[in-house]
Amino acid sequence: MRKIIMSVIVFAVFPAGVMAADSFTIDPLHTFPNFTISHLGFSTMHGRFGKTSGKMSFDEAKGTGSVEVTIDAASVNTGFVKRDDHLRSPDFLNAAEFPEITFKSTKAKIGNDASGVVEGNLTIAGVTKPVTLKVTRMHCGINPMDPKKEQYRCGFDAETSIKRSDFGVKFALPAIGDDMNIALEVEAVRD
Amino acid sequence: MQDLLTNPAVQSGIIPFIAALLVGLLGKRLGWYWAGLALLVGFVATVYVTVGFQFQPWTSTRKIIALGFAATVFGGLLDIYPWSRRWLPAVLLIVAAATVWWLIWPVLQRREGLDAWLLGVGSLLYGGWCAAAMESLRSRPVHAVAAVVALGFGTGAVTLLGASALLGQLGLALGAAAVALGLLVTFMRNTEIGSLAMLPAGVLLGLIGVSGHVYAKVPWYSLALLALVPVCARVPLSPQWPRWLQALSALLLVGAPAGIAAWLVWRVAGGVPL
Repeated sequence: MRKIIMSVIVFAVFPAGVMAADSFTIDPLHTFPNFTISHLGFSTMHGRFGKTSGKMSFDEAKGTGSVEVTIDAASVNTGFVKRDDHLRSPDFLNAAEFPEITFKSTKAKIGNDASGVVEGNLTIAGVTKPVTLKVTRMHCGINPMDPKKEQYRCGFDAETSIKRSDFGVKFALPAIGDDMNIALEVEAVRD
Repeated sequence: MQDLLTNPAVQSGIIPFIAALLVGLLGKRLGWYWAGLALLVGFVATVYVTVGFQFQPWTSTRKIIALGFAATVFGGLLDIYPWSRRWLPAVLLIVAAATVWWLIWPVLQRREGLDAWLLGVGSLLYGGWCAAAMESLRSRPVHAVAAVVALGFGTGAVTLLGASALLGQLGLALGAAAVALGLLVTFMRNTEIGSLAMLPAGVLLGLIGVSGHVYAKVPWYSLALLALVPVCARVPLSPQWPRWLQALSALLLVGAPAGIAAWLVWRVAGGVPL
């Protein structure tokens, strides 16, 4: 009897759409935030963060959901150790003081063409600013590499552009570019 | 003009030197210890053209800048009021250690065991020592300014090589400002600098060194060598020597540990990260 009452309460409180959203855990082996930035105006430097974690929810029928990603600031990698140490220092990411870069979505909408937008708040070096990610591609389905053919995962590619000075990272401006292009490759496994 | 102002050498060398020279000359005319304000003004000029005066959120660099201002006020009060200085070194050591605690707390709270103790005690001792030992040189302007030159350029060099160009610039700025003040002390008789100059210089350079170790990659032994600078500045020089010879001799004495500290970091870390 108690179970029936609880079920009624749950269905009354949560609309069917919310109940239909699946929850996912970010797959750190296939989730990497990449970035590019101008180096003294001569070339475009590429880098990425190697450690991420987080959660995601997605309602495939409605194309809505949410995502929270935590990035280990110290995992920055540009292929040159000395430069990576500099990027971790107080000049840029200040990774010892602010070890996490986070993104928390506030609104997400994926259209029928598998593209869409995710709005949310990005926090870098203790400063939080709203950003909009443009999702260029999204796909969900059974992982073909799973021997049991049971693992369901969703993945998406997204991109955005920020000004690092908005986050208080102003060292060596304007020699080292203010504009950072960010490209995210995200995969998550259904819980 | 914009290119000039964004050049790191101009930002941390020429700008603080000129600012300190102008304020030093003006302060010398005003009397008292006003010439000593040249050090802080040189530092502030570099802060203005590099990171600015935004203080939120609190970061280690912003804490350093704010504590530099506080130390200047405290130093000025020490020069104004004839308090007993018997316990001053101990008080400065404790207060400076407290500021170091505030500076490194975000990292210290994530460390455990012996690692946390070594980092905490070592950092507190270094910051406290720099503040107290440098302030104690206030009544010997030639030695004091030579110590700020060596500790400024030494701290600047080790933090620059240790992967934080910004902290390096702030240290170098104090060194450049001290060169300007040193010219006044050497060639203009009776230029007094007082705690107004030496307390903020000691506090700032101690905090920059600690920050370089905790937040960048400055090795502890280079800070141990830099801690010898105020000791070397106490080596007595003959008052019979001309002032310029005293200044040169003091610079050679204090420059040795600072130079070795920078060389050791260069051997480990290599060149400048840019």
